[in-house]
Amino acid sequence: MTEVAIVGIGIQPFGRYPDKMGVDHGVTAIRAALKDAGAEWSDIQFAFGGTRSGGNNTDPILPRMGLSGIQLTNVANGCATGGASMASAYNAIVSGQYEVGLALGFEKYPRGALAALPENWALPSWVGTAGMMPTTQYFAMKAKRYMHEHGISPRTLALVGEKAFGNGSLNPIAWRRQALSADEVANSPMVSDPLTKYMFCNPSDGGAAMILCRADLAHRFTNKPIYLRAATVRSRLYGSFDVFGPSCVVPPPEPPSAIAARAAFEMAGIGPKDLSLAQLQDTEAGAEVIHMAEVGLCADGEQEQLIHSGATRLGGSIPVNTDGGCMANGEPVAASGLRQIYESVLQLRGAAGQRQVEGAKVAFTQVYGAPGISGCTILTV
Amino acid sequence: MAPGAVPARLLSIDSGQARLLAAHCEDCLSWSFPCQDSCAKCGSEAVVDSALPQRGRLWSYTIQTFRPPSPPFASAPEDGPDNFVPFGVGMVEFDNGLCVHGRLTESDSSRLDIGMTVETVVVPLEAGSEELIYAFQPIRGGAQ
Repeated sequence: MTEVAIVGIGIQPFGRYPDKMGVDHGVTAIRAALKDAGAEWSDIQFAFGGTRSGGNNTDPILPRMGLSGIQLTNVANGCATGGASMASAYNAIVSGQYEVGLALGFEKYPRGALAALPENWALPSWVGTAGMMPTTQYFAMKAKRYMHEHGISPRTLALVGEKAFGNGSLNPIAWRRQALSADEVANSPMVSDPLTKYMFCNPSDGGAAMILCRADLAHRFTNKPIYLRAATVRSRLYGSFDVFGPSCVVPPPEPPSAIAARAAFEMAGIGPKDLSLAQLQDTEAGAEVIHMAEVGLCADGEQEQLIHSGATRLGGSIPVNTDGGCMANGEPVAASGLRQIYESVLQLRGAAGQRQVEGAKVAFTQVYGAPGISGCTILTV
Repeated sequence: MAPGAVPARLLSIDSGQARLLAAHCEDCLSWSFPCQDSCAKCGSEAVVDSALPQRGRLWSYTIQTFRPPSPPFASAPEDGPDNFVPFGVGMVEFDNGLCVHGRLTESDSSRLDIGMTVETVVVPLEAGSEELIYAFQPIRGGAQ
């Protein structure tokens, strides 16, 4: 079977840039990825990309990079858009249609919580007028229930925050680079019980781009290709408890991240025990804890002991969100999943500086998005 | 209460008792909430709006401490910071296995517990509003 390599990575560090447009971040990321690969724009045969708030779609990159007539397809899978762009690019190469292409995402967000309109999600207007659209509500209720069922303590959530900002402090391109103690995280204002201010990520601006090619061509671009062994996207089953879902069934079925992760492990022929590190969707601390079990890193409830013992920290047995994750980088929605790939590639190249996981060989990424979509990838040296 | 102010296909109000409506599938017997014209599980169009039990159990909850972005939230920032009152929200489990997201009449998390019994009530969308919406009200001493 055709194999796929990642040969160039580029990023517009996440943050807030009032004087720039979303497309600027896309172009910056693409130029950085091309430079990293030693490639030219004319090498790019196709692109899959997304933007939720950075413009109508990603097309404005074309007149900036050069109107070369390539196939550019827009992807809109909520916070899972980056994962879906990677999976689409992977499939375009594996199918034999193309040899070299791009996965892209960029955003520009206003401050504050995401303002989702129920009409855009085919929900009745009362869901919005009654104040039930904030995604923070969903995350808090999912965390509350999970903690109740599986014995996760509030301290564990605070430790996840401490780790995120600690890793962010070692990451020169992180948005939040000030380390915070677990006490500072726990004692910050309560936003949505059980989640405090410093347990949440913020929407942010930024962009990321990945250049993928058929693996046998990778030597043209780099002597350190990273191989994309799996890229999967799955949606939810009936009755699942997901963002913007006004109902679920009890007990809920297997969540989309569990299904996408299992499919990725099967595709790669690699198991959770083989991973050197993982980047998990941490829109808030509860999500990181829950996703650890959903994707198969541990059983439900084992996070309590794993996190307290430092297993998910740098130097632990399974470092999670080595670049500080969404909590330290913010979440430019369509670019966020590609930031996970960017950090994973740095780690597998041995180029992650102070955050380097010794001897990293296999990385896993997972994004989760509204209204119940997950995208997972597995990368190897 | 003015029946016209209740959103369509949401509530059945009988003798002052409010019950939520959900679409029940005649083919696979699954429930879909809010009501829609086909089954969320199997896609069958043989669905009938049917009332859920009046009481359920609190499956999870949180407190909405900040004013949700408007739109879509009914009250806007220009209404002033003082008129936003934090409110509780929860997921309420009914005996048919369906669990529904809704506002709670209680906004103090220390007075809420997973598993407590709640009943469906109808409340104004916001203070002084003629629009009505459902909410779940804890039944004191009803914790299970």
